[in-house]
Amino acid sequence: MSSSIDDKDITRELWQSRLPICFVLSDEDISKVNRSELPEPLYLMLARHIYFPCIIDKIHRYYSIYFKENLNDPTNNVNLTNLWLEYESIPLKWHYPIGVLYDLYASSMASSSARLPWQITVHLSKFPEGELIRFPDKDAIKAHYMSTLKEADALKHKGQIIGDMQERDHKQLWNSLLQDKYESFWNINNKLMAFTDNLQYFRYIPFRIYILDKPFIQKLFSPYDADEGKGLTLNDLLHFALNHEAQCELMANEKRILNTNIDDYQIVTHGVQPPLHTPLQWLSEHFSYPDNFLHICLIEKRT
Amino acid sequence: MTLTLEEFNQCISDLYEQSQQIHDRWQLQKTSKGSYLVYSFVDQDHLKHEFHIVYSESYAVPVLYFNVSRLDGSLLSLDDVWQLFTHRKTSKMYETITQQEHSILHRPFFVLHPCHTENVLKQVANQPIKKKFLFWLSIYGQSVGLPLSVHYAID
Repeated sequence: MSSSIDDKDITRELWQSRLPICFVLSDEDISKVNRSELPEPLYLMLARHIYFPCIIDKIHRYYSIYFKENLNDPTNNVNLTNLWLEYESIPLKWHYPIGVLYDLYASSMASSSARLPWQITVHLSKFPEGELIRFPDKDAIKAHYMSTLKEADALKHKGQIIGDMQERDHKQLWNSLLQDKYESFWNINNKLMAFTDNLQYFRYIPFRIYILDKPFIQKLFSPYDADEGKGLTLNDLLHFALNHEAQCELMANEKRILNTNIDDYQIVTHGVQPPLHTPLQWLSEHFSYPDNFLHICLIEKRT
Repeated sequence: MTLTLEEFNQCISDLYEQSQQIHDRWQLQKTSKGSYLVYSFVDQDHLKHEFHIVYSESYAVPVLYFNVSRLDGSLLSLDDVWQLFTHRKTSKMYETITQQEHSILHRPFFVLHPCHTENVLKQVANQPIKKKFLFWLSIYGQSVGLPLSVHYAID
């Protein structure tokens, strides 16, 4: 794939992409505010590749001023540990990176009324624990990030590279992510993008494919076809994943089987649509999120 | 030491059969996304414990998911769960309980992270698959209160 831009410039551009987000308190919780002035919306510019729980304490601090009296009242349901986020009635699965949620639910491809800033509703009660994972503190979201990273390395290298890393390398990855330090992050991440076992490609590609109203698709997929002696592309991956998913639905006697025609979808990652002929190995090395997974949203084209 | 999907399916199937024979509680769930075992019971404090044994393709090992819920259906938090099992604490195992999306049901469950499983299984590297599986289950299950009858170890 020839390009006038260096591959490294691509990873840097992706690292720098941001989303303007506007947090608004839910009507239900506004009615419980004990002050004469109601909370203004909170505006934040957030990196696409981090997680909402990374800034949860910022949101806590912002709203705690308005709920000082409520917090001491045990009969009140308002509790900052029950904070959760919602967009158009959908509880946001905040263990997914922010950019993934935006591309899937709120981008111009996903929604006919997309506007920036992305307006998200903050709830302080009725945490939907059957659907959302709790992140009581930064350590919890760090643990989630590390376990996803380990899984990616298990797929790529049978866990050999991350297993050989020191604890301080793990800390450097996470802290660089939080402090927005690209160089510091990639100093360590480059090791995870290396090859092992005399291979010129990863054993399996870590990926998750998101389609609206479905759980994500994740399967074992090699970036190299040994029989044909050639590298596989994004198109090959999508073809495999959609057909596999359709097979499962058929076996489960689902009433509606998903559309396996790739042309009927916009293929979005990091807010852009990479060409379908992009080599999968290259995509994994350059377009993975900091957790080393490719997160790809398939948005059905509106007719 | 890893398990193939076929070996895993054989192990859970065998465990289920044995469970039926001794009138134990294991249930075998078969879905288009894979099969898994479920065990649940209510303890003396009226807490419901639910355990799932699911196959991890990424690690090629079994994974133990669990949830503990109150009578009203609300789930115990990670802090509550640590309190509950603190007397069983073995340091390595404990660092790796996190809440994750169940790979088949796609809702939150606690999981004992599989990254250490391969090491644990090295101790039984030369044993038959079934023994490896039971060894894994007894170690992981014990740390989170899963009762495992000795009958399973008897062929």
